Amino acid sequence: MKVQGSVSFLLMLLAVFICGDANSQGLRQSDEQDNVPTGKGYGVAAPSGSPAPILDGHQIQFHGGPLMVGPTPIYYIWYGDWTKSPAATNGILRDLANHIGDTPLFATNNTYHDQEGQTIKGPVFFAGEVFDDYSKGKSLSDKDVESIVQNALTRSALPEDPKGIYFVLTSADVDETTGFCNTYCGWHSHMKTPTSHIKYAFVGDTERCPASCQSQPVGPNGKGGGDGMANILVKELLSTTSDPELSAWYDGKGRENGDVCDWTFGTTYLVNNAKANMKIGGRDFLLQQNWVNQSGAGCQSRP
Amino acid sequence: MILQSLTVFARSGTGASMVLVLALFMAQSSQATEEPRKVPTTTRLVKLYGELESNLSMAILEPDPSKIDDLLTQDFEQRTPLTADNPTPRAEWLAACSKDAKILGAVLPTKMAVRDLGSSVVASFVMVDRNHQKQPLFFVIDVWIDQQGHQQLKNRFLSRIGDRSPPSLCERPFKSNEASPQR
Repeated sequence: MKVQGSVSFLLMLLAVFICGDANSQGLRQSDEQDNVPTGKGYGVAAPSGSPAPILDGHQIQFHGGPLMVGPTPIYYIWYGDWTKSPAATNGILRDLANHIGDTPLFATNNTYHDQEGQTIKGPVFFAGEVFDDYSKGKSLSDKDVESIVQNALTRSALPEDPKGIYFVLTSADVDETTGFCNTYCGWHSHMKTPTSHIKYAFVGDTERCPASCQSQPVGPNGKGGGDGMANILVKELLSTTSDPELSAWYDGKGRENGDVCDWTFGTTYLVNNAKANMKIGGRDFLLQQNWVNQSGAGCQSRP
Repeated sequence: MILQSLTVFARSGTGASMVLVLALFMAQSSQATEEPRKVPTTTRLVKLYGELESNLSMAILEPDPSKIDDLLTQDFEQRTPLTADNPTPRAEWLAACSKDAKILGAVLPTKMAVRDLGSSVVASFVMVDRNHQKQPLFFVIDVWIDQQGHQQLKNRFLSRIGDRSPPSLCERPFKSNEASPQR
């Protein structure tokens, strides 16, 4: 009797598992014509159950997922050895985090809205940082990057903040083995913890591969990877806020707002023998443009 | 919910059921160890060589001999697994590409990685059917060299992926005195 009861319960449990899995896979069958932002800088064919677009924007579609409308705290996890890098890199990126939310470039994300019509307004601000001395070695997988963020939260080095974005910034001697320098210069993702939903990004020191990940050998703020990292970091910030869970704004090719404009900068000027296209918090930067979700807009540095 | 179920079964004392539930629990847990989905920023070189690949295909399809000369070295050759010791040279490759224009115009490079080796650049990618992108057709490794400031394709190594791919792409016809390829 006890065994029969257990078997029945087990069957029920299996049914619950199966139903739960089906629900988690979303709303529709796959469509070979649609891509999702899961590849290495390009879209890949949508897996079964990917959400269909629910609203057509201007050559970019809304798929119903949440946005990070703000305020958006930024946390840095400096991974590896940053004592050998030009000290300026840390300062450049801290300044950037504190001021990027006030720029016309960030305001381009104001053209994206969520289900309730809220747009991405910020503010964005630097909220804290921690140093990680090679806890996962010098050769990282994507999962290692996720673990680096988890470890920082577990040991309370940084607060667990579902409204924040955690940037794992690796020094030039660290490799991200899934394609850093050959396929990508940075990426963003998200993970669930027992109590929260964390958004995080990877940005490696572009000094590791200047030809691949820097638009110029020396940036407006001098030597080192600070300028190159700034460009990638802002791109990841703009994409993360408009598509934090890879379920909000992207086009039919699986490209998010920033992907469409990779390595396009618009009008530039010269400063310190380097190209720049905007001034942020007293510094000059060369930051790629962002897709503006307005009729006839395209890639721009301002709405 | 899983922990509650485990508790219920622990109380019921049914060992076999416990094992099954534990197996289900472990299957669920293994999903959590998968690599996270991510959205990357492509490298400058991926963008640059992606455009060069596209320009070369366009030049062949148009055809535009001047653009082809700009993008293809005079000693270009293509090797495939079946012609590893008998590559298709430039002129015959171009002729074969013209015959395969329908395929060439229907493929799209994806999953590109570009490695800068100094004097040369190696680009690898998967060609997929533009209209059915779940269908990978060919894996390609291209070697580009710097010729006085502009990039030219010097070598292409191409292999089919799966049985649904076309038998070849831009491969010269086999001559009668050559062994027939076994596909």
